[in-house]
Amino acid sequence: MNTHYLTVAGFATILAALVVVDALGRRPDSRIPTLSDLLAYVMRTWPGRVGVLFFWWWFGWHFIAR
Amino acid sequence: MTNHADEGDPAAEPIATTPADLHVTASPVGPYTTAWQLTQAKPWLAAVALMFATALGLTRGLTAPPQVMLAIFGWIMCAWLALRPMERRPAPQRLSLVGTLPWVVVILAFAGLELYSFFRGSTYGHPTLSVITDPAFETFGVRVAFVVGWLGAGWHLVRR
Repeated sequence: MNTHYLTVAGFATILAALVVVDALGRRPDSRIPTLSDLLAYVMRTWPGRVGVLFFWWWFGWHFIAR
Repeated sequence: MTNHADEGDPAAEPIATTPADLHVTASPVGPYTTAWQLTQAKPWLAAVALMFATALGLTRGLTAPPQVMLAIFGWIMCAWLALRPMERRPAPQRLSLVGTLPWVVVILAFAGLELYSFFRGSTYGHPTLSVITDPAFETFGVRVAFVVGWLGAGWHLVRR
């Protein structure tokens, strides 16, 4: 397997891990926060809120305006 | 229902999950809604979002139309959020350190792989996420679906 497919497999694994961790966070009495709760925690402060919302906007811009 | 803080911690607070737990403030769109509920309550807004997604889907690459459209959209959203406070679900006051660890691992793994590929030149042999997804974004349907999902995620974020 060349480095291209290894890298693609790496990103796919990370994406799968993201889905699994979020699903684990949705179980009753889970100590793992969901991604939504994690982001809400970061966005409690004004700089955190601006940072997360700016990243969201940049993420859309980055993929659409390519 | 779900408590994300360490057990036995007096400062720990459960995360609000019912409408009664939500902060009630003046909001231009009524009580807390998901993006799907919003489209059902205000179909015209869904139509505008779909037209915006379709228009963006028709654009290509680093050209003026998508840049201008996204810049204008960004400024309108900033102004709207600044002038019209939104009703938001309260954020958890504390998170379990152990519970947060899986997220730290996922985020660091992603950042590490992305940066490694970037500094290796973002080539076919070492592609960044953008390079991997570029062929898919050549498709009109994928671009429209991405914008719809992106707008829905943004709506969810501003309500948190």
